[in-house]
Amino acid sequence: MTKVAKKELLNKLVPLQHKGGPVTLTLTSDELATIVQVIQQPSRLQSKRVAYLGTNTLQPEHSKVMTRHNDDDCYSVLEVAKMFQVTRQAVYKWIEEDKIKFYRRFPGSRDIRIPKDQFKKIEPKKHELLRRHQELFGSGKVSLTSPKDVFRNGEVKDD
Amino acid sequence: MIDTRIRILWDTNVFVQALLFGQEQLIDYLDKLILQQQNNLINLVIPKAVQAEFYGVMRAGRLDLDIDGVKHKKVQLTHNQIAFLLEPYFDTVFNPDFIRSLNQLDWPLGIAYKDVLHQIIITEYNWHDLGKSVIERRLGKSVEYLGLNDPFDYPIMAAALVQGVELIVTANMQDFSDPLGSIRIMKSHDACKFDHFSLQINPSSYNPPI
Repeated sequence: MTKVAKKELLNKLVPLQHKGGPVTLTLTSDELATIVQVIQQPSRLQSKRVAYLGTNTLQPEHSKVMTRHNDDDCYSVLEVAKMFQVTRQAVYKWIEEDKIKFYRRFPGSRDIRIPKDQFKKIEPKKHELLRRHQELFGSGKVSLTSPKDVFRNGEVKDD
Repeated sequence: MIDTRIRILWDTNVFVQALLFGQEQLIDYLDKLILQQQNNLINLVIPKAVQAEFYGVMRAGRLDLDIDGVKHKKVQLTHNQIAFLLEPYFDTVFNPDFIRSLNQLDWPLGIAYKDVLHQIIITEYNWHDLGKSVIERRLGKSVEYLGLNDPFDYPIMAAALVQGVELIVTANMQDFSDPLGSIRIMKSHDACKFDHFSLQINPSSYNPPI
């Protein structure tokens, strides 16, 4: 749409601002499309960054759905790697395989944001296990009567 | 839909090291695997053969309690004590219904518990030969040729093959073998520092774990 056409459209819309009741407008299909486009676009005044819902790179660009997502609600690839104690390559692999939801800041961008709400927080069982172990065995050290029961060469130590 | 999650199997001896010997590095490793499993990133495969063997070791009095480096007494845990110890891992690692069902069996003291294990393998898997023929059929070689000498590891290896496991974590490296190369065998202390996802990543792009 040209600048002149946009100005004309704005002039048509001015009565909407001033009249409280219903207003009848005649719009061309171009004008209507422009209004729809503007409504669908995220506000440029929005202070938070806007991200784009990511899908596999194999999918066509136009299939990407634009959505708002705050940085505070997302992890970076590195943060996810640290959380699961894996390499960044592993996280990229999950992204490639659509195992985790992710967003690109812009279509085609390598700047990937990963929404936090998709991950389950699991409380480590370690402390509970050690507490129960202590209750059952006290401060004693547990060993096997016959290590060969489960360590076939009889060697318990494997590190 | 194909399940592309990496399947990891823990052998009985790794559970012994972690949950009975209390090796914290392995307990942390198990916590990490549970977190990954609960987020659908891996599939932690603990065959009933492993669960039963681990249960049997505790139930048949195959444990000693050492105090100040001296063997103090034999320990035979009751079903309730075993359930108490394993409860934090119910549903994520151990199948509570299966563990409860093991209480219905008559567990003899001493090495005879292996006969009970054999019965469990027959009941659960219908493997009268402990899974030997499954291994030979899948790998196309005899267990003798493969160097698999311990019949009580057959069901674990067979279960790994049936369930498409990609990594077996065990202290018994020599009791597991996959000439087809689809299963990697690792000792527990190596596996806990290993990024399992690199199993499916091009080695040229591999970086050390964070």
